Amino acid sequence: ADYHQILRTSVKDTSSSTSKQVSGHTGVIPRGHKRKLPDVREDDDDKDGDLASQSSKESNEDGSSSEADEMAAALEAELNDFIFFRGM
Amino acid sequence: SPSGKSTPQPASGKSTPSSSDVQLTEEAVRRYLIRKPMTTKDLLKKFQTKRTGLSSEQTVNVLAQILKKLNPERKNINDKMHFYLTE
Repeated sequence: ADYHQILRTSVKDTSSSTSKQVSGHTGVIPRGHKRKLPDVREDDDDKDGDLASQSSKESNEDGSSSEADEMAAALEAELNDFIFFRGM
Repeated sequence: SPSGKSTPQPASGKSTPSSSDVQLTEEAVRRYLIRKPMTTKDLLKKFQTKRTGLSSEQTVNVLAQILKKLNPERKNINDKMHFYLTE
């Protein structure tokens, strides 16, 4: 009789634990909310106050500022006649 | 389906430098200059080569053409020539 009881309880145990596992599993589905918080800045890029942020962004990249200098100089040279023309 | 021809663009692709990111057009320059006075350098910053896909030479040339056409007002701010437009 003892053996039977042991057998039964052990069987019960396993069955109950498996059923628990299953219900536990289905209960803990990770929800995908709260995902996109820090992503809104991209739109701001083109708005008014962006000059400061842009130049600070740029200072992180070496060499690009000197290239910008060269381009600005070239552009101003290109515009020089035009600028003087207007002045007259 | 046209899997071979269309450019594959991941929806979340932030790092992909697409040529349509920024376009160096008269309209774009006008918009900036109406908003506030800008130096040539400021404008060049707005139309960085890596954002437009143009070469620096192209950028300078096109921007020069556009500025000549727009014929913006000029004024010195902090000893620097700024261009601006009024509507």
